[in-house]
Amino acid sequence: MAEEPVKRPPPSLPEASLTAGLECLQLLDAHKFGVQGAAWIYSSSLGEWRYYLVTQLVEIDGPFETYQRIERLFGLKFNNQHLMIDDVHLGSPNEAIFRNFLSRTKLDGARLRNVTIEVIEPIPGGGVRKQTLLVEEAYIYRLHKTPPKKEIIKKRKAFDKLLEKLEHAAT
Amino acid sequence: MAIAPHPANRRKADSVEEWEQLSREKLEWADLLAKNPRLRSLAYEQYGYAVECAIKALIMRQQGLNRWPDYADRPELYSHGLNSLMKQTRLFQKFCQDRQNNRNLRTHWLVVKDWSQSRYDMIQPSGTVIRDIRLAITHPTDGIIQWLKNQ
Repeated sequence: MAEEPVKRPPPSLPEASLTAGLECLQLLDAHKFGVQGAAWIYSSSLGEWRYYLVTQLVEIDGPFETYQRIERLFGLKFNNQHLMIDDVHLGSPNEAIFRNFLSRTKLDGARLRNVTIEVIEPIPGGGVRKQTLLVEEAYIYRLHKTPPKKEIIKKRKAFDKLLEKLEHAAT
Repeated sequence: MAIAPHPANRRKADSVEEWEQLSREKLEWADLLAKNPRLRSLAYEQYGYAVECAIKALIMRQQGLNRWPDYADRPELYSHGLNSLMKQTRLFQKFCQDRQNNRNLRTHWLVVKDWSQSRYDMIQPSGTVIRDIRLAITHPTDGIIQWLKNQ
């Protein structure tokens, strides 16, 4: 297993990627996809920038169905070489990192640097283990608290209808 | 009942067979943990390690390595990033092509590539998340481990 993380200084996020991330979020919003947040986050342990879409749909419908919905929309409406479906990462508002971010104020449009997050996990048989995650840099477009499940499902149904109409029009 | 830490969590592998064995053990361990809703975060973690080990087995097999390289020689192999490791297999182009031709394989990889250690902590992932990552890894025809084994 990997004991020694690959350490590299964070490369700067290209302006085009930053713009593409915003356009992707705007597209999903315009089609009523229930996105609570979107961000570019640099992880030193992975040595890469990751574009995250944070949605409770990951927990409700699962990442498989959620990706298939996004991929269908991308196929019809989003063709950007700076942000392809492989560059998208789905995040859940339940994840340690997003819960930590949500505990901060003035998050929309924020650029965060060197955020340390303590992750506490239960261990089998009782007790906990602690790990520390370092987020060297992050650009947050938006990160809002999760609305009620009913509202998310209502939005998703509206999204599905819109998507069907778009696909019908395209054929 | 107390469960002792699984040996697979402490072991390092040095051959294709050992990485494959470790991958199987991680999968078994993950399945066991997934049965307890309070331990789903750990199950999620182990599912990801199962893929990591399977990719490392392929790297060794493909590159004809007779032992796992030291960090000083191949630091790029000392990563938990599944996408970065997949690129080290030198089959990434073929993988992209196969994903292009197989929608399920493509979506399975999208699900798997999101994995990172300690993604979840005290708030456990839903059963749906666990179901999806498990299926993405173990699907008999379009799963990631099956694709790795076929190469």
